Amino acid sequence: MVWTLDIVRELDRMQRDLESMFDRVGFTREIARFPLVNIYDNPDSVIVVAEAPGIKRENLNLSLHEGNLVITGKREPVELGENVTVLRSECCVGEFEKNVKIGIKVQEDQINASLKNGILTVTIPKAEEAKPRQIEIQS
Amino acid sequence: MADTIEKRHKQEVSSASAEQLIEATNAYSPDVSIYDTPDALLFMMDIPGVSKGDVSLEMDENNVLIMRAKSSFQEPEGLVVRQFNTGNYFRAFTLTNEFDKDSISANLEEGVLKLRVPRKEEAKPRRIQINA
Repeated sequence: MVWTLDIVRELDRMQRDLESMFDRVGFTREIARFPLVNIYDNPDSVIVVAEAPGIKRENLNLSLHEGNLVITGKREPVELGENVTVLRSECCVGEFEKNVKIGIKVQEDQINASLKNGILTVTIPKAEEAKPRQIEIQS
Repeated sequence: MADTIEKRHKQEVSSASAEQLIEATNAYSPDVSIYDTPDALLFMMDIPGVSKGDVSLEMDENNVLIMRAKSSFQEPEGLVVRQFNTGNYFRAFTLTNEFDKDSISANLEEGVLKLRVPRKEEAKPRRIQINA
């Protein structure tokens, strides 16, 4: 643990390891804990960025449902031939669904999404009434 | 489950020990899956945010395979929720002698780095005919 600065990622990996252990013995239903998302709030827009390595564009779906940005899709597992031993398996594969609550009025028809180098960026412009307003102080 | 753990101990092909020795300041350790095939070792590393050409691979005289990757992802302003960090990646693996360091091939697609580290010819498993 000393060699990494990335405590968040390391904790997430430990959590997934634990969950996959429980999955193997049949305690819990398989629930995907990926992709991880970062959320950025700007005066004009909300930006949701998701880590999506190895996920093909056609396997990724975005929708806006009751104020939630819903990211669904699947990451296909590597096709392995015969005589293959898995030595280490840290990369998440399988189906996933991620809900991000936006909670403000947005311009639904202006949402823009791009997938580049395995990073999904969704830019959601705020509706006029949701933008911050400067208030004049009367003397 | 017991089966996979046993195999991990038996095959000292890869270990994370090098990561503890080589300093990798300001870099993150990417998720990796490693598959062992009769011909080669296959590495799949999740390095989202890295463009083609920003990955460097080296194998030194001690058979340590080192991967460094530079992220070109520009983080937007106004962070409110963080689940993952963005930045450069570093990860190292100690390999045994049986791999051919001159013919490693790599390919980066959709943020996943695929590495193929072939075994030397003489290290490949050979089928032995039993004569009746």
